[in-house]
Amino acid sequence: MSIQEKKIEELVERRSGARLGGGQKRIDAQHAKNKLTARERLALLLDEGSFEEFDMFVQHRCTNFGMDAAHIDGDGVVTGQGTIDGRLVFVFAQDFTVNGGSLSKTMSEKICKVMDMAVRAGAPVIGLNDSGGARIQEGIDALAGYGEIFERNILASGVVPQISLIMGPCAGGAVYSPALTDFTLMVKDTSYMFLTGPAVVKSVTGETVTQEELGGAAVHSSKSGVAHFSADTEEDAIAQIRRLLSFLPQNNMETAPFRPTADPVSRTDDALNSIIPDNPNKAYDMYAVIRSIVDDGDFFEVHKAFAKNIIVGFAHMGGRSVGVVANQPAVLAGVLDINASRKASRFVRFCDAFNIPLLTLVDVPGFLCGTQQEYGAIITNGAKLLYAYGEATVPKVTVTLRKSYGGAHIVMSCKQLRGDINYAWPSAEIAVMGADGAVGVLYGKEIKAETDPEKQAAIAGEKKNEYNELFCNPYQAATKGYIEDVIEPRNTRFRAVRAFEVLAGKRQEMPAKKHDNMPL
Amino acid sequence: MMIPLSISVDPWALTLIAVSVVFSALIILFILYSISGAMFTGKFKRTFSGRKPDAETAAAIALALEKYREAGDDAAAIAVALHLYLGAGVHDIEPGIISITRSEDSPWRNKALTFRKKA
Repeated sequence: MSIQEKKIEELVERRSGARLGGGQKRIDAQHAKNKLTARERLALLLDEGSFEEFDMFVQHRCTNFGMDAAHIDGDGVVTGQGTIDGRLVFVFAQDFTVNGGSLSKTMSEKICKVMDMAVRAGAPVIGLNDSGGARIQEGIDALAGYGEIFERNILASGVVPQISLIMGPCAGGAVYSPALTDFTLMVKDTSYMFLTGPAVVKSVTGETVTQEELGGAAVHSSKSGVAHFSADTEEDAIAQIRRLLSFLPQNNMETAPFRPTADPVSRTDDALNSIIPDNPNKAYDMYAVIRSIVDDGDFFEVHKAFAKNIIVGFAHMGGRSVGVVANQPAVLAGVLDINASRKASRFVRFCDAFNIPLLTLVDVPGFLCGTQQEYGAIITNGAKLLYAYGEATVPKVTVTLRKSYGGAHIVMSCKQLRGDINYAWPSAEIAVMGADGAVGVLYGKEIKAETDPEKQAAIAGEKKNEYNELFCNPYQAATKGYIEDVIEPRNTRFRAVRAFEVLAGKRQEMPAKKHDNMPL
Repeated sequence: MMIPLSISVDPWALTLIAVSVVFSALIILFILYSISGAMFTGKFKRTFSGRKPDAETAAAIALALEKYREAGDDAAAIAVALHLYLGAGVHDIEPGIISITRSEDSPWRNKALTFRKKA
């Protein structure tokens, strides 16, 4: 065998060794916990044969605590580039089989390298987190490593989409990287995110709590909203991320890929004409409206289990990727509260950053009242959504289905927040407040002056009818040009698709500023 | 017995009677012409004989009839046609056509132009 052949043999052997990570025993331990290895996850995530690994042979440089005795190629993270449905992405996957996936300076350098490349190439970054945290032996270098990653998350924010999959532990300072990315997905039963674990919680507060209860997928996808998606298995998680990417552009200078559809633009749905109940206090399911009007009924929801009184997610309309924001009358009557405002504002800003037009379906009676909301700063949080819509320069199409009262009307992409095309159904009630509240304010004294309860009810009823006739309809807004048209519900799909076509070339700017001071 | 050669009538009463007769005749004529005018403009025809289908509805009915007749189900064809023609209610008909030609590569659509301006 020639020297060159020996060198090639050495390369192949070394590559095989690197691919084993921490060794077969640790791979088996990973599988025993229903978890895949880093490379197995990447093989599922990326198109077959598309993955090119960088820095496979990087090793740590730590000499503390006997670390110089053991060097494993790759140092606990697999980084590189590949494609998803033919579209370039940069990835990093922490390898739990190597030192528990703990972060070292060199691991950080590898991750930062692919993030830098992603920004230069204008392609999304996907991180698969499965790490025990900082490598203690590295000392402050590990913290510096986290800091470098976070800074890159910040610099890349709004430039390229950043997605985090939590596929194992993610604790302490490590949680900030996913928190800075655009979307976070957690796997049930095997992934956790918390700043301090159950042991420290117990010692400091005396509270006994499990990892799952403190920071599991269910908690973060329904209570805190830290996780946008949750999956039952790792395979499901990866499939969700592949699907999510199909709605997103590569970077902030592109539009999302066009998805041809056989679903005709002219399709009408008679069911929409009768979906609004005659009783204004009766709920209906907004999902039915969304599925009726989007292409092929395909709606990819974000934050499904969190703040269910508002629905956000991606769909295609006429082949174009759109972001849908819709009040859900079936939950809390569709009111806006702290969590709903946070959820929707984050989503609106993501869509605006990445040129994804917004479709807003409105049926909102107002903001949720009460001390819990007021003490929790519903004012500031509601202002976030107001700000997000007002700031957004992507095409904004709004359809008011039923109620749209007071401040909530303004917040939900009204004309004055630079809404481009605003429609209303004939059932729309665009008003300062509902009839009950208005009659109480305007005629309260007159009603109370009447002592007979029956007569009181009669006066109130008469005044409510008058108010409904005058204000609780879309025509007040239509006569003033605050909406473009009143449309028949069954035609909503056609009108919305046409509106997005009209606005496809929209250009709108914000004044020069260093950055805004959005209420946070 | 003597028959009087002339009858004495109040001239104002006579005038009033004559004018009343003339105006009554005019009113009757007005009513008659109104009815016949409505008949000629088809007002009664619309009220009593139902709507005339527009082109879209007529096309939909024809397609439905063709579809179900091919399957040999004349009863279904007639039922669908009746539903479309009578039971479909009043609609705000849209053209269903988007005539805008897509031009994604126009420099106007350069997304960088929507970035915040530098001072």
